[in-house]
Amino acid sequence: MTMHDPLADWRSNPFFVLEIATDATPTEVERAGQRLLGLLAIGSASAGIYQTPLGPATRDADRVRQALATLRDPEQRVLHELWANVVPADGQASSHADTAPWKEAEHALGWSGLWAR
Amino acid sequence: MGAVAGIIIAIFIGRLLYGSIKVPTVVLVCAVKLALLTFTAAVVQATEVPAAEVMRVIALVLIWAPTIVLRWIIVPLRMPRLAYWTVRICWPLGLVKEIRAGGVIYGALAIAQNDAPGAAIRWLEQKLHHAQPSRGAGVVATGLLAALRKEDNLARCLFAMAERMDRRLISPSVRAIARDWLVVDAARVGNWQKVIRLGRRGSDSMRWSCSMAHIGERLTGDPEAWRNWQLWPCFLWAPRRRATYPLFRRALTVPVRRSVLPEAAPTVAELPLALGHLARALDGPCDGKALARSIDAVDRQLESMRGRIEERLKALGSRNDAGAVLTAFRQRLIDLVTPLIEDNPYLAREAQRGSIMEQAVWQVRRRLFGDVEARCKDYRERTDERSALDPVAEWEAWAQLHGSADQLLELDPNVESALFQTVFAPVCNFAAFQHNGRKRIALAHDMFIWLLRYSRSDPQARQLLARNVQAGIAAI
Repeated sequence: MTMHDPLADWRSNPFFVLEIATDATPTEVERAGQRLLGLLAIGSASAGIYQTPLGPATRDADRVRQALATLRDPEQRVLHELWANVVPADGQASSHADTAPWKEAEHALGWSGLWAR
Repeated sequence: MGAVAGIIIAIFIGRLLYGSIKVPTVVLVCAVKLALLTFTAAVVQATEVPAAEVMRVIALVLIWAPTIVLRWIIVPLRMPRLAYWTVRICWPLGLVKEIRAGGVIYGALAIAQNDAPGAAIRWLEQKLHHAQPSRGAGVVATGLLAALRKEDNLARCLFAMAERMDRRLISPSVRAIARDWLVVDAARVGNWQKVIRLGRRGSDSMRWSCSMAHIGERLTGDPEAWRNWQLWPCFLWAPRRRATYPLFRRALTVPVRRSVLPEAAPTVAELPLALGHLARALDGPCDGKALARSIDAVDRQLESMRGRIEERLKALGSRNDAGAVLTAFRQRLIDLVTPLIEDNPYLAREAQRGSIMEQAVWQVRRRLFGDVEARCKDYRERTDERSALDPVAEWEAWAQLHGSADQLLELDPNVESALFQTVFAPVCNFAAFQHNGRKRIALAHDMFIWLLRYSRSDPQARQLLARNVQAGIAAI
């Protein structure tokens, strides 16, 4: 909706990145992180993408390490637990509006080279 | 008789050359084009060239309407150098005062079809640096080059400035390019409120942006939206019908409603549900009310989580209390909302006093004011040092200050007086330096006009600015 993705930071929640539950034990957290680092090290394409309640996102080894470091701090962990427990709202579209973006706008006018990707 | 006519013409040309008769440039160009057309037709007739009629038609189009050839043939063929030289040679009437900048505009449009090669962009940049004087077409050309370099924010500032420029500085066709870019920029991300605002420009409205505004009203369910029988003629009157038709069909499927049904506030009893509504408000349509409600719902649920937070901290072996976590949570909430408000300042109108959204608005306001103050400081220093950048860089700098200031005013119209007091002296003095010292009349005039628009709180400054604007008009 804006020039940038407003949910990008939220999708980087450590629990989403590591794909673990918010009640995971410290051992489970470390195990998940090491497993992902191993997969990323061998170039696994599927390990580079993860699903969140807010849509898919991408990760790399740095992001995984950052997630592990964040969850080792109790205060940070509790904070991110709160943010990770999100129940997506019912996605019923309003019948009185259709505000989806016009994705073909730039191509329709032949100006596709004028915007950053 | 012929001799008398010849003497009169000679006297006229002589007085013209010595400046005692002022003829508008457009009139002179028309006279030259007429003479050229007459000469070409005579040569074609005299030499009895095959397909003489076709040659005459081609000459007629190239001399009188070269923009048709540019828009329909040269630009789609993606030939930037040919586009540039066609403008330089054929002198379209809408660009006579800025031929080089006009050439760069069409050259940039020719390579806007896909990712542009760097060499072509650099070639156009060199041509633009030689373009004097720099006015509206120069600003739009700079904006197009910034867009080709993927500097979207700079392009946005430049086009926003060109789109609102004084009519004396920019031709309608060039203004249309700036406005169309802004409309496409907003529509491609679904910012229909901005599309609507761009189309509603009163006497400065243009057909396509006006049509897009009406389509946007229908898509957003605006109670003022036109019905189908009103939309059809508006759509048919506008250009680019084939490109816009799929969007138009989409708009026709949205029913017209004449009253705004108040949306029920989400009665969420738990934080996870409140966060879900917040995510939808952030990622959905730019609706200030929905956003403010969802942020408040999250904030209300936070206090109820205090006990649970304390338990979790204890279980994880932390000695801190829940207060620190709640403060950090609220700060993250502010950080999440701030970029959205920065991109869509009008959302701030729905912020309630004391709410988290108001704190996010305050953060944006502080950043924008800081940016404006830093740029004013730069102007002050450069005025004292009598130092000026090249024309393109000066327009870019002015566009960025102009953009931050306009965002600030859209965020909170009440800051107009404080903003004016901050910018008046540095910008006015710098504009005077540009006008008197560097003869950059158009740039100075645009600065004076912008200041005059917001000078209501200071009658003395208003008088001074009004005199400066008159001086600029006389010099243009």
